[in-house]
Amino acid sequence: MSLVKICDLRGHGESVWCVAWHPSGSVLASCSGDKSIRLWARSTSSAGSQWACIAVLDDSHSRTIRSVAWSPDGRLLACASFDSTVGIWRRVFHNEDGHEFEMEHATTLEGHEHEVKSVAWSMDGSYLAACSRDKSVSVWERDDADDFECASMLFGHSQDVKHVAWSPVDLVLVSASYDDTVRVWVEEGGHDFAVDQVIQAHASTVWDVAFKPAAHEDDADADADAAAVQYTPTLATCSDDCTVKIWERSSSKLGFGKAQFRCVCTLSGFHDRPVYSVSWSRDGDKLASGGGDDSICVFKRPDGPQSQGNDSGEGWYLDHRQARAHNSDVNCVAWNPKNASLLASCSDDAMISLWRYEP
Amino acid sequence: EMTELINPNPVIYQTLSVLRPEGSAEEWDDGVQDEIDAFEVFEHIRGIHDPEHPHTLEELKVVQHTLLYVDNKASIIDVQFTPTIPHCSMSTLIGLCIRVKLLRSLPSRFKLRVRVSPGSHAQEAEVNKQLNDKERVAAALENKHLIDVVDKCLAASVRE
Repeated sequence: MSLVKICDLRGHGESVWCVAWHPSGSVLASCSGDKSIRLWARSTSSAGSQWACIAVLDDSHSRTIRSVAWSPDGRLLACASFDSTVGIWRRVFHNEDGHEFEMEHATTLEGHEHEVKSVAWSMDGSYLAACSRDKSVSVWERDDADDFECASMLFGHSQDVKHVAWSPVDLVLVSASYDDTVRVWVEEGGHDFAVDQVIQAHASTVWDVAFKPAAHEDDADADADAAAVQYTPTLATCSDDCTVKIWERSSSKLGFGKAQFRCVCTLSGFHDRPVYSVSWSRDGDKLASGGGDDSICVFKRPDGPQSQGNDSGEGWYLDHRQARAHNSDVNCVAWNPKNASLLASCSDDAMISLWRYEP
Repeated sequence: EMTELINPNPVIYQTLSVLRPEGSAEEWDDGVQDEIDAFEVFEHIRGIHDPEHPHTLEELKVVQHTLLYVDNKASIIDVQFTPTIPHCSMSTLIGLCIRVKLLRSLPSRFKLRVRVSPGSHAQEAEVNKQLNDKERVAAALENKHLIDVVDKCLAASVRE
């Protein structure tokens, strides 16, 4: 088990805060303190195949771009900026291998009072959530013309909201905060979301929260309803308290008074500084984390994803620790959605690295 | 303009003119890579001016070289500073000044932690958490007004 570096991607002039794979797996978006977004893809030429920057999206934000997220249909890219706005970019052209990929700025969503820190699309792409230093979470509804309307503002966190993520099977939203909690929000109907659970998650800031993916579309027998029934809602969180935690909800029926998320595993002692990012592999059997100790950890579950009846988060173990993965804090790690062994990472050293996981 | 001083009568301490012990043999050996020590870190921050007094952080004993910790091997620098009064609302600004000065002065390999010394501030945990939240620090460094204030405190910190 190891991580073999494929390449470093240089181009950003400041800290790279976030990397996000296009749903096709062929394009990587990154964003930075240099106020730009870059798109990266593998070009095949006579000299062989190598990753390169294929687009720079800039001049749309006046401050750091903190995070980026692709819509599930792959047509839109949302970004969160410290300038308190959310930017939406639209794909206007692409070819099959993703190397030719053109985007234009579509719109800017205003409504937050301070830095926007994270953006996330619901599983069907109909909602976009954003969160801010102003302690709120905003939920935007997207119509067929890709216009956005603010459907709901969610208040409850007592401090900055650092990260938002949607369930892969239904309209459940989670938010992680400087107030050390994770809040679980459930759609009540009428585009309203109400808090369903407040998880006293960590001893300090919760930097990231990620839902384990549901059975992916390549599975022969996967259809959306079946996936929802079989899916055990599972979260990973990571924190300034240097730990990673895994949370499960015993029932897939989310709703008031129903089963609550409980911690099934605490991974501590692997990062000795804050952990900023967690990412599930597409089949949910690996969890990567990156942190302020410049390292990347890959955690695994002993029995793999196929073991029925033993879906508990207990027993996760460190599979590999890549010390000095970067020359500075690792801000984000992201498994490729198609290639289960491809991992991207980015850092305050202004670099993005691509890694091949070898079991 | 500040009309009311948070601490109108701070105690001013005598500053030390010589700090570093006499050079050891390694210091004169060009073959040895210069390591950062607490004295060097102190040199960088002792001249920072207090946001509300015409005194340096050293003169107010807000910074002391004995409250600096350097681990070259692990690339860690730990700075503790002591606000002049336990309710000092300037503490986060002072901490930010120290962080900015060291970010600009020291090699980027160092992980910096800036905290108030234990028991010195009524909101110790809150102040420490804010000072070490990299996202809030990054956002603060983009705030033109705040950076102007920080630069003013740092302007006089270069000692000849």
